[in-house]
Amino acid sequence: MSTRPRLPVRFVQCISSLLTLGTAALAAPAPGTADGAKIPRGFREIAQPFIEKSCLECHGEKKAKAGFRIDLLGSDLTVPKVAEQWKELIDRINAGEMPPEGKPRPDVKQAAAFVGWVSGQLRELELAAKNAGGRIPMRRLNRDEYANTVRDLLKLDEKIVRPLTEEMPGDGKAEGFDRLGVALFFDQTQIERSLDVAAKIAAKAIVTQPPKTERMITHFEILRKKPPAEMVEVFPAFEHKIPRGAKDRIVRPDFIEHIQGYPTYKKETAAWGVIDHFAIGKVVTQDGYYRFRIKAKVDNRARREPNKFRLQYGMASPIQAESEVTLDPSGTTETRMFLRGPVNGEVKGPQVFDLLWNHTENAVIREPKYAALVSKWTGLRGRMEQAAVRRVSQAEMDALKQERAGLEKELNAWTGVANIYNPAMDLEKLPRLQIESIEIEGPIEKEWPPASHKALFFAGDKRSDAAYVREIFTRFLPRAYRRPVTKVEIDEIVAVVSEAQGKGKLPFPEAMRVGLQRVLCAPGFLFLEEPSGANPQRRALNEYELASRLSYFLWSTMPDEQLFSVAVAGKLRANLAAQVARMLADPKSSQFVENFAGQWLSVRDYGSIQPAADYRDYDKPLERASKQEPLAFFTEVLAKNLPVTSFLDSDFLVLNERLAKHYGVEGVSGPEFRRVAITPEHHRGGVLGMAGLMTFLADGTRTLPMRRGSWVLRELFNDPPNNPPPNAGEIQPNTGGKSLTVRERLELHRRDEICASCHFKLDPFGLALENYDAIGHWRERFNGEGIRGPSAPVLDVSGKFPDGKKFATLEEYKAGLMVQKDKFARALSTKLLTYALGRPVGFTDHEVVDSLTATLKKNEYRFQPLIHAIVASEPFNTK
Amino acid sequence: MNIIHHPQPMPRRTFLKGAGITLALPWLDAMSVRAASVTTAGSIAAHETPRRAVFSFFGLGINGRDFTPAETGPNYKVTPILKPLDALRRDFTVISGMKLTHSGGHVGDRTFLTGTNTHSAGVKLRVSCDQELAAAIGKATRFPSLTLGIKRGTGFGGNQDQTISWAPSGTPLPSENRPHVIFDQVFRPDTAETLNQREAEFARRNSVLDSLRGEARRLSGSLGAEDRAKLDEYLTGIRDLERRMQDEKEWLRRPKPNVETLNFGKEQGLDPEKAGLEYRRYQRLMFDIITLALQTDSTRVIAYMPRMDGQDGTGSWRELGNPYNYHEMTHHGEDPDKLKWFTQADVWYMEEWAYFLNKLKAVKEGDGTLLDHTLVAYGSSGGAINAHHGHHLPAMLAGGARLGVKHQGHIIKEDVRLGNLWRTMFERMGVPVPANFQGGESDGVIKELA
Repeated sequence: MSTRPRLPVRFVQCISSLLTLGTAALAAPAPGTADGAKIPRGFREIAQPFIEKSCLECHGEKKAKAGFRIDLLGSDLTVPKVAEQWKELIDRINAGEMPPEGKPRPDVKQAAAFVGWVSGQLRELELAAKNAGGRIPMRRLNRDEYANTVRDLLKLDEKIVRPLTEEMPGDGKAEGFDRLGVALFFDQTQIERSLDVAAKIAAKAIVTQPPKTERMITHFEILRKKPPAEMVEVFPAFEHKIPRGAKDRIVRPDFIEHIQGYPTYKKETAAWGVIDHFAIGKVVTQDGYYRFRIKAKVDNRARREPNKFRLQYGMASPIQAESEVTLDPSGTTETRMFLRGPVNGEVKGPQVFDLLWNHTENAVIREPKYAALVSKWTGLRGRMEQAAVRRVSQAEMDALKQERAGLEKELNAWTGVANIYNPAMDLEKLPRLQIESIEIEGPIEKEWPPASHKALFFAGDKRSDAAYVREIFTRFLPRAYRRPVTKVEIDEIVAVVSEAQGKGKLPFPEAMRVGLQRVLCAPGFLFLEEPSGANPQRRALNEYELASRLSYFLWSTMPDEQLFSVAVAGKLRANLAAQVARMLADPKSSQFVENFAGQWLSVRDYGSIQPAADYRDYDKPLERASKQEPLAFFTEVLAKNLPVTSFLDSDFLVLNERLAKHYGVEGVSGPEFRRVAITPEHHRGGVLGMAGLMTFLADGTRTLPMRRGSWVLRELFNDPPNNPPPNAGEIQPNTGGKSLTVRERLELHRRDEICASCHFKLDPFGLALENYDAIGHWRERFNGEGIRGPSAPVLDVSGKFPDGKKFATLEEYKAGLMVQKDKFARALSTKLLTYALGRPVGFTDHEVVDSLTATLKKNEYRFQPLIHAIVASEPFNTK
Repeated sequence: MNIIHHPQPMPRRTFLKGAGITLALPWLDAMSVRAASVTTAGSIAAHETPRRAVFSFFGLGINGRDFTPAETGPNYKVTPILKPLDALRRDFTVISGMKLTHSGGHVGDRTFLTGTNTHSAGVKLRVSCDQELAAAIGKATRFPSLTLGIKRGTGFGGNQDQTISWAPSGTPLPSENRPHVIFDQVFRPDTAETLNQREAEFARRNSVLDSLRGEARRLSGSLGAEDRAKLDEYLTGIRDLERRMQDEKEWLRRPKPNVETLNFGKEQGLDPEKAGLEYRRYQRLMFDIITLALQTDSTRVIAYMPRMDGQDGTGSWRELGNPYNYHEMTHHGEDPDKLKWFTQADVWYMEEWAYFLNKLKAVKEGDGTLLDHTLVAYGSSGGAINAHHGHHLPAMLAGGARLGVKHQGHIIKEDVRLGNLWRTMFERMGVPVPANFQGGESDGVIKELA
């Protein structure tokens, strides 16, 4: 960036002069330090003694070893290298390289204090460099805001818009959020992709004729010609064949009759059987809605529960889609699904369709004696793999091989059937699915022409004169720019359309698309404009600007009609509180939850850590539920206006069945999330302990207490720990048959004094959470990394807060956090203000943050007053 | 570099044979005084030879115990994994001990050419050095650079990247992975209809961009200084795009190089997005096309991600019996079976790499070869010592003898940043290193090579 502001002098303004002053008594500011020479807090007490004692002898005026003089080290971090040098300086001290061997070792606590002080100053300067406390900079919409705005502006289906906007470049983050002007850049790629995406959106919004649809019917003819083979290979596919025995499906003249589908081999779909499975890439050539028409009936016999189909597409891929439908007794079941096709030739997942039926599980089973042999064989295979890893003796291996040979002999001697009907069930009473055909057709339109088209061409498709173009954009542009527009602005769009028609020889609708593309790439659309002219003073926002700020804060999209009309009437500022209340109650506020809480609580990153296979409880439903839990919890606190301290600890959680099972909470059934009261023996409450967060703050095999501790400090208390020095060791895996807990291994690492100085502050915050394993399961003994069972070491989660207060259990730790609720309230206020303003919040904002924190305190820490206070605050209302 | 526009009439019908069919035929040597003079692909004078650079990223490291030679210098004892390259010993240097500060465990892909800690939240994504190189020299060729990979697209937003190229704004540039699509882009002559369409599209875009500039300029006058700086990014973006379109337009009506179509064989098995990838056939075709693109001076900069940094994307020689994926082998836990396959797979990958280098070497250019005029980097963000850490990376620079590279066999640059290898390449390319190169993760050149 070419035009970063020069920093206000706040850091060690000029070390040289300060040090000179320091030695010559810091009485009066020396000449040349006239612009304040405000000595930063802590410099005299912490930094100066350390520099003088440990650095200056070699890196001062006299020696300047390695060409480095600490007294000349500048303080303007926007000058390249300066910040890096400060960073390197503390890295060297951290790594114990400086002062070098042979020189007196600094006192560990003093060194830590110095490093902490420099880090704090660097952080303060970094914030200042990003314009904390300053004017809210103009910024462009981020990807989510862009997609939402296009959806609302053009009345397009969100499912159509979202995939198109994926082609927009990703957004930079600053201070943990992707809506800060300082990180939302614009360049050639941004404008290029904006043009591409806008052209595609315009093609969806303005239509000429219905899209060509594809159709495909599967009649099961192949199956009919080729019923299941009578003989099957004996497991595990030896040459010998045996009779199949009981069959799960029978070929009838007009349909296939299923007693049972194929197993899905997935816990989550255990009650479902796969009826068919085929590629549908030929039909799904683009994103859109597709109609499924399944001709099937069920001969229910003794079945009382409803029959359902589950339709799956592109499973375990980015294009995954699933839907459930109840079988229509008429014999034709219809449903619609949104399916994703290739994007620019890039297929984002397997275009494979699966049809599942809630069949009778285990209606056909393996013949028990045969099944026993098979399971012995697979068990033995597992043991042999284990033995290879353990590098057992040759003799032991030979014994296993001999055992396997014996089993294989037995399997090869098997001449009975492979399968039987489950004798525990009455075959005659089991339901039969009779399926005839599956037809897939699409893409289909909900209505024609689509709402977007009808809204734009308000007078229909008959007119195509120049005046119509002007009328259309006169209506459209103020909504697109979220403010009144000038005639010149309309002229510009009209000119583009007429050039496309004239020189470009495009027919009317296509020329209109070019006009729409032009609007969607305009600064007026892409940026949140709040022109301030040359006026250096802050000014109050006008009503339209305020409406947009509010709307993008709480909805991540443009103002709706009501908000616009309040702004047009000039009554928004006077009615802010009422609008905020209305907007929070609107479903669109879920975008605030997703975008604020989703980033604050790291939810967007859940799922990036894949737990190892020995965490058998971990499955996709758990992963999905654990991504929803924090958002559902946040929604509950927000909507019910509960105290924000609920995030630290709470006597309730918001759960569904899968998570409740994971947490050992009884009596929750069904996939939907609801508030559930919990008691102390559940060992949960607040965000710490949520499965998604605990999994994310682990590495899939073991917990990472450092990462958990630093998350707690950074996100809950806005007190980020110093960065680890380069080459900071990692906690090593257990070797040589040892079974040390993570804590024990960490203590080995902490024997180094320098490391200890940082870990002293950090460790307790993470080690206290050791009772949650790498997937957030409660444990009292160490597990993971191949260790489990009653002989595993018992965990010690005790520790000490930096102020010396001790805790022995997770409960005491959380009580200790609760004591610091004011610090948490301040941290949350800072985060929320950062998000609301779209700029970092720093030192100069302390009065606003103080007053927000006070508001929380005054209102029993309830959430909504904080949001009202932010919206009412001076920075939110001014440019 | 002295660039002269050189619309050379075709004195004879010339074909460049591809696909490893007729590599060493003497007529090729005679014809190919230099690729650029063969056709009108490049815009370089006859007495000049273009300098090229290829950056290749093999995710997840390598089995270092069977890769890294025990000795340094040109006469190291060959290791099992280096064996396929042994005939080329004088054409490359293995550089051991280098590090990437911001690669740890997985997902070092993004830091490979950018130097930055770009997977962590709050860090600004930044430009990769192949794009910086393309910005400096790309105007001379139809394609300023090519971004290729084993998977199509960018992968951005997912858990691993599918590209190692990043635009100056920190935007990932999508990789292409289909050999025939790349071939068509680079060599297939456009029909008159496509050309007309493209030109109409350019005209439409110019009209829209003009109009946008008008609005932005008007807005700019009403803004304070800081907001104006933000809007300047927008105006600069428009200007850069217009320049780029202008360059493209100039190339549009110039004929593409005339080469004989590669023998792709059946298309099935050549799409890594689909099951049944025939990896060896696929990989060789990709290297054939890269060679052709360089030889015809269609581009001088290539960033290639033949193996990704999590799911490797290549299948790790399943079809040759390897039961593990690459990631599993790197976490071998001393399991002898995994170690055995680890080395075997690395040997196979290295056989492909040898195929590539041999291919470049077989193309005569002036009194040297294409390899002598191309800097070919092999690297990873994962280490060569057990698992994949960000240090002791496997790295190799091949080729470039005519660009002043002095090959050393095996050298150790303990704890030296990988960015120094990129800096060395810039120096040999004769391109000044841009400001804030690698985000500071580069502090010198590798002197032994220069």
